[in-house]
Amino acid sequence: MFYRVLLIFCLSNTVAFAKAADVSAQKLLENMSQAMKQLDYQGTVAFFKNGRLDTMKYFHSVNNGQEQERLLSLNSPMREVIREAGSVRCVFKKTNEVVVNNNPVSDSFIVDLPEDFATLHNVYSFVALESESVAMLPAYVISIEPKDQYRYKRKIWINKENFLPLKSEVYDLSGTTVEQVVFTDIHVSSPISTASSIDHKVKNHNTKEQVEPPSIEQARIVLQQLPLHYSVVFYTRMDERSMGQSTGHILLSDGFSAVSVYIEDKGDDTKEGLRVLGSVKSLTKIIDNFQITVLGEVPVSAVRFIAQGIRLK
Amino acid sequence: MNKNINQMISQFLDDELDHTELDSLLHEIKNKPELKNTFNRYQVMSQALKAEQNITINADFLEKIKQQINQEPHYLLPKKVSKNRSVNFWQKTSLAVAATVACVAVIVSQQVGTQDNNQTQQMAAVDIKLLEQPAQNVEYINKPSQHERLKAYLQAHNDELYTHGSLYVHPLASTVSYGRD
Repeated sequence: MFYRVLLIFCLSNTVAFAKAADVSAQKLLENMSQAMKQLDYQGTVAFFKNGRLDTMKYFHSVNNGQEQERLLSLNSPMREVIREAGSVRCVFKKTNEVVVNNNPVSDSFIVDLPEDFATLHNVYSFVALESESVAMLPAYVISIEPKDQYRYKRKIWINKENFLPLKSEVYDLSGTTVEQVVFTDIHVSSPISTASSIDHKVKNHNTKEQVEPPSIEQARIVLQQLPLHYSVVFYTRMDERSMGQSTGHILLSDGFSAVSVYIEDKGDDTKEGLRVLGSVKSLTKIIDNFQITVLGEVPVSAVRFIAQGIRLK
Repeated sequence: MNKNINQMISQFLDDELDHTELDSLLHEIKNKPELKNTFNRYQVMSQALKAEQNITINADFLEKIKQQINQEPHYLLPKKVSKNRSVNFWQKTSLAVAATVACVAVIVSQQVGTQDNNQTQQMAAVDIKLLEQPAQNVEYINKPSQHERLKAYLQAHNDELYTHGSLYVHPLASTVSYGRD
């Protein structure tokens, strides 16, 4: 508790500094990253993606240094989602089933952030824009602008009081919003009850029980070229029950944008080519008897560039 | 090169081209009139796919028409004595052919109408079912189709299952692909 009070005190001090002109957009993002990890907070979040809107209750808590995020749906299908200790569990209330993903692509339901912002200066510009209000709260507005054609622009609205994110938006190359996450209300709170209904029958998602993920060396392909600052986050094998066969999954990320590469035996109906699935771009190519699909919420040039550099081992 | 141009056209239709690439593409189209046909074809494909209409005809379509015709009752009516005996043979024959063609057209149109409606409804029902249940719980006897695999890829890649309760995938719609020329 003492550390939390200390943190809020430190953050408040930072607010004073933030008023000074020399506080950089990067510093604000770093403060936000810290606040997101260390504060207990809850609120109502609207997720807008591909023309669909859903609103959920959101809880973030820290217990013994371990973060927990919890989402509770307000609309059908009723569900509760918990991100904890590197895995995500989703309980569907109607069927009483639990889906577990031991290799989630995102680190947060609200916004994905890199570990080190300083290393991204040659691929993104962080620009502080004029302040705005979100949910009647004054907010810094940071524009994260890509310097190449391999990632999308995004904006983040940061609460001036406690540095928590209030809103984030992702834009495609034409400037259209492809994704929006916005708090309609948010408040920092005392430690939140972490009680949940996760004692139902558990069905695994795309991985087996908690096992050490395989090394990237075991992948059947080599990624010979990646856009600057994209790196391998993990390599795993997806559940054969859902895919009908062993499928390798490599996750790449630059901290903000994520791209997945899937490798499996070529199917009878496999067609090469580019596909646009809402805001997701995917490119499938066939090499010998393997089909490789590169997929992500990134510009076409990114999936194409990655796909062009894929070779079989 | 042709593949690149096709890809650029596809990107153009998705508003994915920057100004330089757009200029280059428009210049290419201006210099090569045949590319305009490709462009028009892609645009029609894109619009058709985005319209979310999917009409497919079974491989046994013709066989079913044949069966339907065979099942038509045969009417053994007493032969009418024609008052106008001046109607010649060729007139009778052409009338018979026209009647047969009209009959077949009616049967075929009915068959196509009912079959397509049923099929579209069935496909929609299957898609809703798939979206409502977690995909990993489906046990596939055979290897899933490319579309199903793409859905599994998407589910593994993003959080939409959690934030929206289902995976956003328009069945075959809003999907633009290009072939290899």
